[in-house]
Amino acid sequence: MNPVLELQKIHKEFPGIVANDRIDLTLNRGEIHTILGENGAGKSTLMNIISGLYIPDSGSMLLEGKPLYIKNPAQAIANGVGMVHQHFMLIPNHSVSENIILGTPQSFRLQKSKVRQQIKELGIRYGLELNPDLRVQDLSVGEQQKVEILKVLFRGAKILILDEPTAVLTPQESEALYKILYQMKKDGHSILFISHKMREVIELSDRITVLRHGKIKATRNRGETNSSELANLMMGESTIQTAEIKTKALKVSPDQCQNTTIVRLKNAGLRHELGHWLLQNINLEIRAGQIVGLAGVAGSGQASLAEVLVGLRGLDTGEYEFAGEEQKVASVSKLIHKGVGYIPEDRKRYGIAPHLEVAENFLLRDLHNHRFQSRGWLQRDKVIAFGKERMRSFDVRAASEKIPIGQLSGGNMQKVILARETSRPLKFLLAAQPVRGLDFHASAFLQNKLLQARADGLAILLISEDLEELLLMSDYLYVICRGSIVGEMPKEEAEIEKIGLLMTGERA
Amino acid sequence: MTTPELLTIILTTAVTMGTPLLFATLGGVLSERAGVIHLGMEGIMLVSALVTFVVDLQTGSKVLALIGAMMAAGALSGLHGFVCISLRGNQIASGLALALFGTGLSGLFGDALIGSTVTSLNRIPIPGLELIPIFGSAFFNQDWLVYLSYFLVAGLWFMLFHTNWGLQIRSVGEAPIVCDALGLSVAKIRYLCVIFGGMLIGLGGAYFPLVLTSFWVDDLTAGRGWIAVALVIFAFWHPGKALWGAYLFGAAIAFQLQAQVMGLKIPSYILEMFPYLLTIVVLTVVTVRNRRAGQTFMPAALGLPFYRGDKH
Repeated sequence: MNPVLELQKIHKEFPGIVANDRIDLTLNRGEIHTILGENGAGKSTLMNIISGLYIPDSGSMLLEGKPLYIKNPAQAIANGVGMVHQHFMLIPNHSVSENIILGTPQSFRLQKSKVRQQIKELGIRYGLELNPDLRVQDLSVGEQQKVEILKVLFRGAKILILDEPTAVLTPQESEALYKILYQMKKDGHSILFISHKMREVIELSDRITVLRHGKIKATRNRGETNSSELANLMMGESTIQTAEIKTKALKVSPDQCQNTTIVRLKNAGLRHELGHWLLQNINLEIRAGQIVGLAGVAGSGQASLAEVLVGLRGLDTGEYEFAGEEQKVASVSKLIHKGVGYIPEDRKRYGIAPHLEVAENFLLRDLHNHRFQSRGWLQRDKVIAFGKERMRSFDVRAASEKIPIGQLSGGNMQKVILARETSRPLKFLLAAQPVRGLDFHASAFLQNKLLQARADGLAILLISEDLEELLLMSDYLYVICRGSIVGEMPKEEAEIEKIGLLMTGERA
Repeated sequence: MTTPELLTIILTTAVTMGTPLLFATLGGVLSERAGVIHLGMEGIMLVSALVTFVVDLQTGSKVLALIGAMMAAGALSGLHGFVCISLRGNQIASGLALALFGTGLSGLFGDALIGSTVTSLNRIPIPGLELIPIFGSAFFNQDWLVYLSYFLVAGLWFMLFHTNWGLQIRSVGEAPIVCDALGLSVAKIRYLCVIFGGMLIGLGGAYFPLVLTSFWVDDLTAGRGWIAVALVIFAFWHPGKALWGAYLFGAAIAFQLQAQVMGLKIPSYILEMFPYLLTIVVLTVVTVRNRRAGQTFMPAALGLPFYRGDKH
């Protein structure tokens, strides 16, 4: 064993939580070491400490046996530690080469041809070939990730940290990434790979360390573990129990697709304010009692489609029919009355009013509802009673219905939103990334509620980047790519590989 | 008067009138490329004009007067930088406050100067080049500050697009969070750009007493600082385009002056309105055209204070 980096008793607290609890970790030369854990387990905090964005409260680091003090990202880079962030740190308006050399020592006058040559050589060596003169905004997500990796390699990093690198990639792009990682490993680089996807991790890693609630649960070598053991380590004992509930709910729901179409888009098109098309030729149908899944790489037009369906934006071409009635003018309030519910992707910004009480947040869709009013005055006791009842039936865990909702965890916040949206007569629910970033239990709870709602005859559009979630939940699938529907299929014909290809825009 | 003669007069006046606009626009470009909006140009120009006038009057040295103007402008811009960068205040409010403050300050201390006069800078013809028909004397029979402005345009263009500094400046204006993660100091780069940009704006202010008017009047710059604010946008934050923009507006002013001299039967108020009207028209056209082309040239982080992600 040849340790490159050693962490000793690294400890970091944020107000209210211990993000990293005396973590010990070693990274050997030429190994791929995976940190596995659920969202909120403390993975990102740990990586941000190694890359200099956070300073630990206590503990120490050794680089090749020598003490290492990293106070800012510059020092981490100077010591050969490079991080590929989950949310790309790229400047869309700049060229590939400008992004790569930014912040590196260069001659006063930039020698662009020399830089181009260096990038080309690195690219050939690791399978990261890119045209250095293209602007980053014109690249696909997979290509942008290559730029991020090139950035780190260009700085001569020996230790690479990749934070959830496959979260935004299609299955094919992920495969390509693994190849690149193997090549880097062969070249003597050491890689810390962060993930919560068990399957890829078992295949890829030399060692796996499982993190839960900020603590290290176990470290396993390649071939010494399996997915059920990892799942138990990652999520705790109750996992299996919850998973059972989920399958049960799936079976309870009747498999009768009622024939009433609730939502129909015909040749729908939407333009950006600057003129280019955001959506083009969208044909889509959602029936009562059906969950329709929308698969696609992040930023493929899902957000615009959601805005159209809930009435935030009107179409430029084509038709939007809701419950048999054409919607000529975009109107959120009209669609709310007609029975549209919305779980927005960015729940903290669009789903709640963070400083209002939990009970008050239940009212946001019902501001014109007279049942909480008496002669124009808000009946506070009714609001509180309603909030209490909803919190009970949706298992929202909060100290009181009177605390600001912003203090709740992501899972509880999402339960409040779902409870609010489904507590009025509803025909259609648009759920965008409903379980992203939630822990396993909250996810299972929300997914069960959605399946129940489907059984009760609700039409549901589920937008997600997680293919497994889509395959589990949906009756019918659409695939969106660059603002157009590029494929559709009933659940029975859906395969991950096929959808993955469609997501990248290649015809399967 | 023959047509070529008239053209030469208008062109020469266009360059003279455009030069202070050019200095100020270049200063604005530098500051805004780094992500800090500079609306205080009018105030800075007035204060630096005042300082130039006073120092010139006291010492008789044009160079000292210029240095004083640039220091005053740099200091005021540093204050703007402090509010916008360190305190993360509202850049528009800070800029407007600076514009009003500078206007008031120059009015207050300028009162005592009414009646005094200073000499103007001499024209220095460039041998050979000044003989080019029509354009020669307009561009190459000017004072040395005009020649300095040519070098500044080229220098700023080269710096922004062909040097490592320029890359860092543009990056800070586009995505400070990225620069921070790469170990660059966002605050340092922004301060330098705001202060040096401010000094260039100060040159623009100094140009008024040094060349355009030899006596002090209240509100000497007459709103040209505001035109420069618009010119930064019109020039797409590009030094080369700033040159054309500044001369276009210089020509508008020259045209208006010439029309008055020739006694055209248009009320002088309308004529004086012309350059400002043109500002609105040009901004509208440029904005609409950009929207059609689906492009925006504005630095993406312009006007946004930078916080290092304090999330957990």
